[in-house]
Formats: sequence, C-alpha cells, structure tokens
Amino acid sequence: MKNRIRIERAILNISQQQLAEKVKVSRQTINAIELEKYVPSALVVMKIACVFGKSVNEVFELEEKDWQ
Amino acid sequence: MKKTYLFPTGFEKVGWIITILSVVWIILNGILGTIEISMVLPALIYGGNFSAPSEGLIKIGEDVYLLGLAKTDFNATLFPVIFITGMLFVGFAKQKIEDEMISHLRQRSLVWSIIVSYSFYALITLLVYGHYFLYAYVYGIYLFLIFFIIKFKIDLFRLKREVCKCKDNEEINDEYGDTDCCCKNCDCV
Repeated sequence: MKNRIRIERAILNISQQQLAEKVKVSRQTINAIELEKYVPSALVVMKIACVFGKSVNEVFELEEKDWQ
Repeated sequence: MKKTYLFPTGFEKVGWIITILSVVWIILNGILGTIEISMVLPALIYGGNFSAPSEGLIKIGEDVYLLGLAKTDFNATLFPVIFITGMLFVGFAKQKIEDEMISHLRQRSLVWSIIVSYSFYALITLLVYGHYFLYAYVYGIYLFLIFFIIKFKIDLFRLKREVCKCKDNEEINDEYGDTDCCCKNCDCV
C-alpha cells in the first residue's frame, strides 16, 4: 500500500515523532508505515488521514499486489 | 477498552532481574554440582513413591493423596516457577508504547517460537531415547519462552535501529521518495 505520509508531513511541517504523538503510536511505527514496510490497521489509517485533514484515499493508495 | 492481557511496563525490569538471577543459579549448579535445598511444600496431589512427611488429608488410591505436604527440592519445584515467572514478565510486559506494530511483532514472534519449539519436541521424540529423552522434555518447557524472548527482542531491536534520531523537523527536508530512513540533515545512530 503506497502512501503520501512524507509529503503530507512536509506540508504540515511536522516530524514523524509529532505525527506519532497525534496518532498515539510509536515513532518506529510511523517510520515503518512511511517506508511501506508495515500495513497499518484501518483505525491507524483513518487517524493519520484525519491528522492531515484528508480522506483516506488521498493519503493511502492500494497497489496491484494488495489484491493478491 | 482493548484488553491485552500483558503485564505493566515496569514488570519487564523485574523479569530481567529474576531471569538473570535464575541463569546465574543454573550456571552455579553446573559448576558446583546440583545444589540441594530441601523443603516441604503444600501439595494438591501426590502419590506413588513420592516421599511425604505425613499422609494427605484424603486418600484417593493406593498411596495417592489429596491435600497434604510434600518433601521436595528447590530446583525441582520453586526454581522452575521463578524462572518461568521471570521470563513471562520479560516477554509479556507492555512496551512503553504498546501499539499495533509492537503487537504485530509480538504475534509474529509467538507464531515463530511455537513452530520452532514444537518442532524441537517432535525431533527429540523421534531421535532421543532413554533418560536423556526425559531431560530434554523437562528442559524443553523453557524453550518456548526463550525462543519467543530472543525473537521478539531481536525484532524490536531491528525496528528501533531503522529509525534515525533526527533533530526537530529536519527530516521533512528530505526529498520525497528517499526511503533510506530520514536523514540528510540529521544525526543517525
């Protein structure tokens, strides 16, 4: 699952740590999600989108391999 | 509220102390020979040739009693309980931030350690005979927790190592698409 977390963080000018605090997860988790090493739960996905003030689809994008 | 069944965070330190002391005890027993500390403990059920200071309250069979006192040894009775308690505290205490990623790592480590430890049991059942089989079976009880703790801690270490320690907000200066952690203008460890 692709994501635009890095760009959205840049727009809001917030660090991984600050985003992690808002979403109430660890910084390692935000880093793993950002690097697409970990697919988060629906709850975390919605929280991240909420922090950025965007819809889920604007921040996260399904890839072909996600359907397999 | 989600119930995690995990111990509070502070239990991990206590667990490490108990586990390390237990390992020291095992090493001491190995070097000095088995250190015997006899004791009498309450027993729910005992029987056969088991030595007991007195008969139990209820006789349920030939030399089998319920609710009595049993003569035992520290290494046979209390030590396994202490060692297992220590490892349970180490493996199942909440991390400072116990989020879904940590739960995911914990779950993966659990699956891995179940497969590995039961594979070990299968192997010793097939390949080990005589009294060594009993030894392997008894000491194998600890294997699951040992494998779990090692795997979980390695995974946690790897996860933490991937994250750089950046100064405030400097990581957002990185170019988009740079998946090599966060660092251009920040201090990596």
